[in-house]
Amino acid sequence: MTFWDWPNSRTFKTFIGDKVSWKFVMCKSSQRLPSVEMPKVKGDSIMNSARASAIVSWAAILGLFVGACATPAGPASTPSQPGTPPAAVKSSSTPTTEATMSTTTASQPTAPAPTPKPAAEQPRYGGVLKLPVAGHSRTIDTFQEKSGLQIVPIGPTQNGLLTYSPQDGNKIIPELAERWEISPDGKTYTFNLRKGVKFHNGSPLTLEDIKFSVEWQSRKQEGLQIERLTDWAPLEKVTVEGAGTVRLHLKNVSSSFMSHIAEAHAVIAPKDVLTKGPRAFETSVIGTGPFKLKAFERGVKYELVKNASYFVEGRPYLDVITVFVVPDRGTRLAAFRTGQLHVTAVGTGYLSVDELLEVQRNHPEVVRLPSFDVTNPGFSPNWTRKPWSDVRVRRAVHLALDRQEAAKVLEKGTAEPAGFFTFSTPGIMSKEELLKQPGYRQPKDADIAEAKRLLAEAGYPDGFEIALTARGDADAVKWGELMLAQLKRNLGISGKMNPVTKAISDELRLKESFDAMSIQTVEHMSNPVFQARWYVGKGLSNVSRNDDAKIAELFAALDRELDPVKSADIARQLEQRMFEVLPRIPLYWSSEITVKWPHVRNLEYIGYYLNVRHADVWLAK
Amino acid sequence: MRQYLTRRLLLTIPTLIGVSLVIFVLMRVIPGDVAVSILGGEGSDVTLEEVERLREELGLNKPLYEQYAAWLWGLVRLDLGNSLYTRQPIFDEIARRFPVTLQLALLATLFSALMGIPAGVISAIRQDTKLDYAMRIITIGGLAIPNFWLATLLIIALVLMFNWVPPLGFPKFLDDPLQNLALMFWPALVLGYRFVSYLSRMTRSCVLEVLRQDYVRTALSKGLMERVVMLRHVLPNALLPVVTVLGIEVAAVISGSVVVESIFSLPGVGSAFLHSINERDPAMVQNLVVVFALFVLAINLLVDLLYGILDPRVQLR
Repeated sequence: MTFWDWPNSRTFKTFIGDKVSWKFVMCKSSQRLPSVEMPKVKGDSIMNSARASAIVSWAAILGLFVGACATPAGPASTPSQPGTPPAAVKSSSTPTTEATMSTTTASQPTAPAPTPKPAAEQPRYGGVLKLPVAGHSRTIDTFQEKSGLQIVPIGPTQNGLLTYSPQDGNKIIPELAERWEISPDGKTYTFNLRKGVKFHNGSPLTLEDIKFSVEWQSRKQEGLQIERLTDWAPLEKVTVEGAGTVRLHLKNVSSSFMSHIAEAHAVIAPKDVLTKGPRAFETSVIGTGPFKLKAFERGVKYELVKNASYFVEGRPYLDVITVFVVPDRGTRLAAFRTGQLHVTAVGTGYLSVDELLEVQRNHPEVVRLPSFDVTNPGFSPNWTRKPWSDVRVRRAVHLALDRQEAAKVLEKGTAEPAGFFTFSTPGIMSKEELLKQPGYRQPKDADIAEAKRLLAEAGYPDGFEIALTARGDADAVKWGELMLAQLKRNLGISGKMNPVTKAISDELRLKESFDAMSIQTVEHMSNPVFQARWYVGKGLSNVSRNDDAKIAELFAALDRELDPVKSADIARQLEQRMFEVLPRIPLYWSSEITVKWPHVRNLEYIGYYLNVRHADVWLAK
Repeated sequence: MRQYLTRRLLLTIPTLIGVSLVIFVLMRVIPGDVAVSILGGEGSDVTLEEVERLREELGLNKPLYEQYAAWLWGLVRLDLGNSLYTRQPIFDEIARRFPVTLQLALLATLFSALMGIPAGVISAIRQDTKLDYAMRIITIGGLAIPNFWLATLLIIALVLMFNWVPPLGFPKFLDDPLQNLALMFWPALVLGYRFVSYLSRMTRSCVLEVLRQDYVRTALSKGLMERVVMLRHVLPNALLPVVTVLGIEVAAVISGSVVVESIFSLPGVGSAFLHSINERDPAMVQNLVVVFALFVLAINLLVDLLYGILDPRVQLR
């Protein structure tokens, strides 16, 4: 039987159906000639419909075959582990906003304690952890880039002097330093270097490497965009002593300095590599981390392999970490559901509440990771323009916005009305206190009446027109639309949305060429000093361009205060001042949402600024 | 033929210059700034002064004619320079990505031919019947349905029906042909489907036109087999225009692959183009557009030459 005979076989006829006889209708100009019944020759006619259909069906079959040859389906059930309780959904209905910090400490314990494990479980060695990122960073050089797109794939290859515990994002632990001390005046940080640490290229870690790396990332470098200059601003000089002591001398006390040192981006690199080619780290990375960068393909993936010489014995557990670049949100979620990814999102591109509910409905065994990355969407008026320069107008908007409704509508009730700082910040109003404040209390009748009175007093009894700019990602637009709807309903203020791309949004902000913006602040840890960038200075992050001297003064005082009691008092004053002048109008606190498959162990939280080394992560299957 | 070829090659120069001028001006007119993209980002403290300093460093404050002349001179020397955003060589980036998009374009063209041409032939032969109408409805869907929507729907359908999605990480064809095809099949199908309608209708019209010719009637009347008439007389004449359209489709698919590449995580020039526009990287965008334009011109020239070879009546001069 030849290929062309196959369509005439009994099997195919049964599948396709009856043969179709062809009738040719031939026309000469406008005349329609009678149809001609063509002679049928078995297996000989190209116009046999079964053959024509066969061509199409072969193509479809080939495609399905190729598709079937692809990656097998992902995990569909909880893996069974001896002694391991069944995995349960651990998603919380309220966001995790607790991030109490101990930013000032005396001497610290020496080596990091081994990761605590459930009694019945022994970590397994081996396996490939598969993570996604939503895009490719501008550069893989940690000194020149401070985004989740960079630190998620590259963070496991490097270490800093300190880091955050992989189990607890509130706790700072030693990394390349064995221990550290802070002088009584708070201006000298002394680190004792761990011995026997080697870079991936085999060269030993020395004091010179640490000194050079700290100086490298704390000063401008010709032709490079060093990202962390403001973080290291309090640093005056670095000195080394003896065989293993590094001292960081500060110009002034800074309560946030420890947090910056412990961040995932504050890494140590080999001096000889950087001095030979300052841009060397734009194409490859050498660190001391638990994984080495084996290869990366821009826009495709990063491949990290185990560093067998890692200074923590018995770590890492994993053989490989593969980080895939998956720009599309739906594709990331689909890849997670089919097992091609172990986590839905890391660093950027987190799930929405609806997506979380959908994943949990279809895969109840997934585990939601608690988040130290919390967002605070809100309304940022441009202080440099009328009517926003008038605090009465800002207060009117503050009173009129209904946070509870926003949280219910936009986040399905999983968000909490927000002030300017998270509730666990010492000195800040508790949630119960906040909900009694104007603008937060329910019902809103009194607040709306007061808002209308303020608007009338400011000269806008009939409201006014707002042009609300929002970055093109869908969340900012949805916040903006809801806020406009509430303002229209409660105050008669009409407005239009102006969605723009990130590039345009950044430019508008810098040039102060916008009316108001729907935008979020992001808090990675509950140190109020970290919020300063959103409210002080002429930087991009101070969206509202607020120039309140008192707020700037209080933030500076907060950073310089090491005493917890005084610090709490300053924080309280700062919060009060911010509610007085309203540099921006916050809506609610919302956690970033990520889920993982339950067989991924020791991946305990989201906080890509905190710990992304994954030295303790292992796969139960 | 030689004259024709020379004239066409010479004509590409003013075309490319025109294209380069348009994209150069556009990139300087649209809002957004690559310096802000580089220095900005979440939580950035960058000020306007720092942005201006970087613009100076990147040469963006030079007179426009100077910038344009420098770029044009680089193009002549085939030196595309570095991306302003990533500081990496543009030529390397395009060379790495172009084969991906080319493979996608060729596969998409193949699928559209496999689907569109038989559909057109069947529609022509079964003109004005239910089968004809059904074919038309199916093929019109390719024009009506946005390809990014179809791509997203396809991924959802694959997950729900087969618990499978195309593999991540773009396996190269030479390294793993099956995985590569498993990934490329779906975006190629989405892109190819868009042109099925166009191809199918063109094929249908062309076949009908040829079937009405006297020589076909004569051939049938003198007793030639249907297969012989179709293969030797009808299809070669009917498919001539279709072949030329197929060639143009390759070029159109390359420029239309931007969103589909992002959805399927393909590291092609389309996704690079999208990313560069988002970051306002003028160097990358300009060079990509010129490369696209060059490719389209080359394809058009090839198609015209092919037409001259296939149809002896056509004389290229």
